[in-house]
Amino acid sequence: MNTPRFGLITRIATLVLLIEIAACGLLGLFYVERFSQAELDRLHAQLHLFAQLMAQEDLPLSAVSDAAMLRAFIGAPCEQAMVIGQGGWVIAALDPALLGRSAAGLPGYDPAWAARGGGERFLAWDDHLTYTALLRAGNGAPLYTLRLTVNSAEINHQRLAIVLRGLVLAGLVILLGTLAILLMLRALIARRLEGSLAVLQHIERGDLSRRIAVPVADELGRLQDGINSMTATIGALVGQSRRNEEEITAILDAIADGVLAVGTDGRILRSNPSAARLLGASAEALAARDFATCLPVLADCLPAAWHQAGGDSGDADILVELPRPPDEPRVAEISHAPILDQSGAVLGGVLVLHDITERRKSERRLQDAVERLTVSNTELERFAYVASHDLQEPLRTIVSFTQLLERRWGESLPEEARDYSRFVIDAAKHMRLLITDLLSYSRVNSKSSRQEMLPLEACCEAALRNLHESLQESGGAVTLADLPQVRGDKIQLIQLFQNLIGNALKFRRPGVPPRITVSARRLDDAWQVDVADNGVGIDAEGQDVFEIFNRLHAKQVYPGSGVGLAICKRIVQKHGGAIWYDSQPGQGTIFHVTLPRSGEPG
Amino acid sequence: MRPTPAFLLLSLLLLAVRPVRADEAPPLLIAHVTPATGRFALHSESDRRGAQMAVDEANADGGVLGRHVVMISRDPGLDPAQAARVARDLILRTHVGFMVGAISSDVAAAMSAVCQHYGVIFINTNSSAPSEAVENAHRTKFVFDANAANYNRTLLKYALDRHASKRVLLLTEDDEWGRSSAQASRPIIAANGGQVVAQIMVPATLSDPTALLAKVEATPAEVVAVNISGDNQIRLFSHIPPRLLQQRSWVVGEVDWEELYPAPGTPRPLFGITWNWTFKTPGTSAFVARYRARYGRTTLPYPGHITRTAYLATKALLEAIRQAGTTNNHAVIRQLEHYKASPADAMQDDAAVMDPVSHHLQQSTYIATWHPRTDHPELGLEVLGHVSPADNVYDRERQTVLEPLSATPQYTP
Repeated sequence: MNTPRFGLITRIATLVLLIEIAACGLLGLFYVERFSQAELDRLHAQLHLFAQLMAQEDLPLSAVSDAAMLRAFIGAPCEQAMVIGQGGWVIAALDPALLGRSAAGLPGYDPAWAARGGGERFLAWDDHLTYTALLRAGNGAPLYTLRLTVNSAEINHQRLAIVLRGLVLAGLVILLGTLAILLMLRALIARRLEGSLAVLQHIERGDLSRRIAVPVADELGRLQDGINSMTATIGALVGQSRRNEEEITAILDAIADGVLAVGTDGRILRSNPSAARLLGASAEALAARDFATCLPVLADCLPAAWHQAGGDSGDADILVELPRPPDEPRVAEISHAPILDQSGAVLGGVLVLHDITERRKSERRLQDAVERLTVSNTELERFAYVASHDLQEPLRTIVSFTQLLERRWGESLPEEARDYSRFVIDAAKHMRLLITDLLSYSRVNSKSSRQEMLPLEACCEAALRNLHESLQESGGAVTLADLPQVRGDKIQLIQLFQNLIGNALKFRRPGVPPRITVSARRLDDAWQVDVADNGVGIDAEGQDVFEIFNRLHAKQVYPGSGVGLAICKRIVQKHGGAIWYDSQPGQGTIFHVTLPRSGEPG
Repeated sequence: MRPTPAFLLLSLLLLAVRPVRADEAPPLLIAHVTPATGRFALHSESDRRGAQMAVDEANADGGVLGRHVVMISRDPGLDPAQAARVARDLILRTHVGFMVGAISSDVAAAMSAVCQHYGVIFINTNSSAPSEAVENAHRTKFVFDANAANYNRTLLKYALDRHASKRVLLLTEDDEWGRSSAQASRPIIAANGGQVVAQIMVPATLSDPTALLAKVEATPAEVVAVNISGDNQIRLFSHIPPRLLQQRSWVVGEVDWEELYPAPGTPRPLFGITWNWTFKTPGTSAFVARYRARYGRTTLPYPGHITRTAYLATKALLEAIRQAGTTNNHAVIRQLEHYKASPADAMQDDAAVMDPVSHHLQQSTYIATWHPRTDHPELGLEVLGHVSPADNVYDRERQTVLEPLSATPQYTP
């Protein structure tokens, strides 16, 4: 910024002075021109009036011989004045020597002009003006010729003097006016500007509490007021910025993840203690380092990614092994985002270093446990399957021989022995049921399933065919609403509906024919199928009805193995769904089943 | 063929008697000399118009003695010494043949003295100091206006006859005309039983008449004889309180039309004139018609008796030259000394006759009063009486002594 040699006020005053001088000069030229023309016009008018008066003979002819009167009348000294009679003789004159002389001999007089009708002639040359007029009487008859020669030098000198006086006066006025303007500018502007500058210097040094005094609410006052308002706003913004900085610093200090702000030149602009800890350096040392030194594997890729991302945040799947000697290496998950200005230009980037070392250890431990548990479960299921399968044969043997014993020697056996025999047979049958159900339960997981799109209505109808006898026996009725298609294992889904509908038929209220409704409704990503009945309801009292072998009623009242709902739960889970129920004891129960809509045709 | 002596003689005779055309002969220069500025400016213009009319009529008739008459105008001012220098300059440098005009008696006296010295005829048209025809009379000068003595002879008698007590206060302009008029009044006052109780001299330029009127009021007199002329007269009468105007008999020796017309609202109780354009006298209407044809649109649309007298005087001069058949001063003087104007020429009730002793034209005078009328000032004048030339002769003119003609230089312009 250039510093001018002269101050603002001096330059304004100089400019005003130059403008005034130019204006004065132009006006002076205009004035001289107008003045000269006006003087000529005035002189002409006076001469014309003089001639008029003389033509009207209201002015004596001898008036031309009175130099003082001529001068007073015309406003300029007459060098020559004469009245020429009709015969061409000078009959009145300022110079008595001309009286009685023939005007024909006078220089510049043209007798032919008067003979041609005359009129008025006005001739100016150098410092002289000659006015010639043919005077006529009121009836138009020619009377005399008036000829006046005026010395205009005096007028010219007066004009020059007036112009000079005017110029001098204008010069004085200009000088005084400029001085006055200078003083006024100094009083009205300069002093206030200086005061404002002094305050601005304080503000520039950071003292945002200073304000400019505004004595007058003029334009400058409004500017000063605006500076004050701006300073107040800046002060508030700076305060807010400081508070934000403090908050950001507190947040950054508090969070466990490391945060780095990196410039496009790779310099680390900012870091938090966690970053320093993760990177194994103090905050001061980190500030002195650059990004490439701290995280060399990312030094090349991230800046380019910021430029290409167009403002989008980077994925958090960058895993970096942090060199942190002498400790063991730690792994951090890094997410990043570019820092953009308002125009979208990349100023740098922000990296968040999330230490996942411990999490990965936990995950690894969990994975190990899961793997071990899976093996265990597999072995258990295999054991159960094998056990239940292998246990059926001895049971059939027990039942068969017990029944054989009863048929052959039943009559010979005492009554008590026969009772014992029936007990054995019933126990064996119940055990076989248990084993069968247990086998079914284990098959849900152990047997590979065939997934296909299935109409649930068909599954339900298959289940109802299997329950035909129970329906007949109980007098129940099943209503199927519109049911969707789902992807699943046909056998298992038939099993699911058979168990739910079978339970509804079994747990009916005495004397009340069971009424069962199967309906479905669409959820966002699944179908919810409801199986509602009017049975006895479920009063679980905290028990999990879906737990295997869990029974709410004595088997003498409602026979069963306590595996049916456990199988339902396993089937639903196998299909990725869920099962639960709502029940009012004595009113009925609604089992809700959700099945994923994946695989549905669009 | 050689011309014979008889042929040459005949040729010379024919050349000698060949009529000279006016546009070929040198013009006959007549200088009209009146003060163009000051309190007599209006009178001067009136005087010039009358003289110009006479000159124009002569030129319309072919000039005088075959020469075109050129009337030049020259302002002699009001200073007698300056006027004398002007007269000398006109004679020696301009070579004028005759001079007419003057108005101011001081000027007329000074210029006519110079004219007498060189033998140039001076026609005093309207300078009416009695001394012009007595002490300041010259062989080469002819006075055509009636003077204050002529008027006062009748006016003072008229005023004094109306008062038992006949105290007279003289208001005298301090110039030749005023002093001469006052001097001429004294024997008339005495002859009518009057007594001059005081004489107040009024400066030639009267700027404020208040003090003068205070003196008049303080002076016990029944008649105030006013010999004040021009603008002084107008200024005085425009300031007189009506009460004072009623208490005194104001006699104004002579009032010109140029002193009435510019201030028609000012009173003039009693004064004398020689002519007015409203007269029914012979020749008046024709003269007025000629005047108005040329000057009817000017400030002075009607002629006053100054114009009439200048016209009469200039016409008399040109006629005298014509009758003399020469411009020689002696021959013209002789013609003028026997000049007689018929009533039609003089436009009066009586013929006017040039007194060969005093060279003063003896003519009718009229007593008049002025009724201030601003709407029709031309109707303000009322003629109260007519005095024949024989009844108003100034006695002292009988003792006027002129330079002998033989002592007067020959001058033939």
